[in-house]
Amino acid sequence: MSQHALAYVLAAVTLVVGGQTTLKIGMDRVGPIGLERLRDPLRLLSDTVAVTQVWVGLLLYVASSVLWLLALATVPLSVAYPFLGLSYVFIAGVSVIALGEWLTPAQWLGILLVVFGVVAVALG
Amino acid sequence: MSAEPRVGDQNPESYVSVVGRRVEWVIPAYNEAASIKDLISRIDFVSSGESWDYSILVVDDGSVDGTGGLALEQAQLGLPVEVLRNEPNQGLGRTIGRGLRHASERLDGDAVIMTLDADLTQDPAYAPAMIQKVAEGYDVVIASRYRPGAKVEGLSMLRRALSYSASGLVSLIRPIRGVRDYSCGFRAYRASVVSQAFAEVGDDFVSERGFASMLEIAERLRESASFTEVPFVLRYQDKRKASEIRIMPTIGAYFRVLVKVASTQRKVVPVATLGVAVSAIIVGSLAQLLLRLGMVGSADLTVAQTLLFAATSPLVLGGLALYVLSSVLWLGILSRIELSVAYPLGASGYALVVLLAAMSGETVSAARWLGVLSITVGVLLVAWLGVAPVKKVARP
Repeated sequence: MSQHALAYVLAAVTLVVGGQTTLKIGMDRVGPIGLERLRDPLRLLSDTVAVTQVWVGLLLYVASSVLWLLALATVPLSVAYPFLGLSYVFIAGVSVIALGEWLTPAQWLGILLVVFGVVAVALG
Repeated sequence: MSAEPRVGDQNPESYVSVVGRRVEWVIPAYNEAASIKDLISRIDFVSSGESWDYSILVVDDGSVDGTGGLALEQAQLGLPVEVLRNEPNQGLGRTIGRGLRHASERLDGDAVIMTLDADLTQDPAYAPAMIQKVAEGYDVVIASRYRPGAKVEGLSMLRRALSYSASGLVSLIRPIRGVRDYSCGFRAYRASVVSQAFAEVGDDFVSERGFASMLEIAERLRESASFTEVPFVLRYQDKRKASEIRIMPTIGAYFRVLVKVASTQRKVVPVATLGVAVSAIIVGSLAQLLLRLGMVGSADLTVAQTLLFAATSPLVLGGLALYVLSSVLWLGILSRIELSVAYPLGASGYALVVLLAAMSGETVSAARWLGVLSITVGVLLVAWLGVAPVKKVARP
């Protein structure tokens, strides 16, 4: 994998985390989507597009998709895709550093396994 | 992990007075005639130097050696001792449960309930430090064998290794913040959390018979109480009769408690929601495959050319459409369940995508399969176990 491709992959993963988190915040504001809300899709749509975080999240998703396509131009899928596992490491990092949350020993072990796995895929 | 105040760390700001607090000692005892009188004397000795009021409740679990009578002799000497008797023997869990209930029902909420074994292996001298922690705001204070400064004396390597592994296993599977020793019976409880637990679940609060009852109590209080520990020296050589612990049933009981508690707290995901989630994963994996197949052949182009190449490739456009579909399905899931439940479902996607890639002709080496396996397990550990709620320690 070239340095360029590696940079694309890592940037795409970072943006996916940003998009995912922002969208989660946005969809929490939209509220639960049950059957009754699905019966009025226009109303649901207008409720959804009214939330800024949904737009920002989608924008981050689009940006990550562009970078992802640039990566897939040179990197086989079986090599690129496992890198998405790093998103969990990033989210855990944000939780610990920014939110002061507490990880269990099993979660630390999980992070080690993900990092080990990504290294194995990258070098293998 | 945030810094916890250290034992004996009583600088003027953190010092909270224990003056006038009521302390009730609950002692489960089965055939402890050799120890019970000395234990009561020690408790009286330790308590007399302190500013709290104390009383002792011995719960005699059907002893046949006169344990209860010996305890009452101490009462006749003027010590505040009371004896409840189980007939016949009902095991540690029921016994301690009965004592906790009896004590919590008549104490006011800020009183402290101390529990300890009757066999002199746990020295009441640690109680003042434990009661101090309750005064500082903790609800449950455990005398711990697994804190710096703690020691276990007079116990075989095998028994030590077993208890250490049991607590280690619990820490790994269902940790409670502030707890390392899940089975030690030497504890201080704020009376209000105990009476609240009995009010909510009745005698189910403690239903295990043996040592697993200690784990059970901690598990039941995990949501409502803040925990901390002080190190202590367990002096097993001071035990005056042979130990009767049966190892295999104890291990079995540990697992039973963990399974029981975990199953009552596991979130239920409706089948329809699960179906949508699985569809989202399959569609998303197919999308990835189409994207890669569409991009093959663009390796030598510039960035602008690559993007133009992508925009005109039916495979890439189809892949993007599936990607959007998968994301919309996923969005529907995200608003219904927590990320911590949605993520583990997504973990299976790694294996699926790599499998599809291999089927499409990519060579996947053994090292890479190993890597994918490691990532999948890792993601499961990070996300799935994140479901366990962790109570932040309430500090006054």
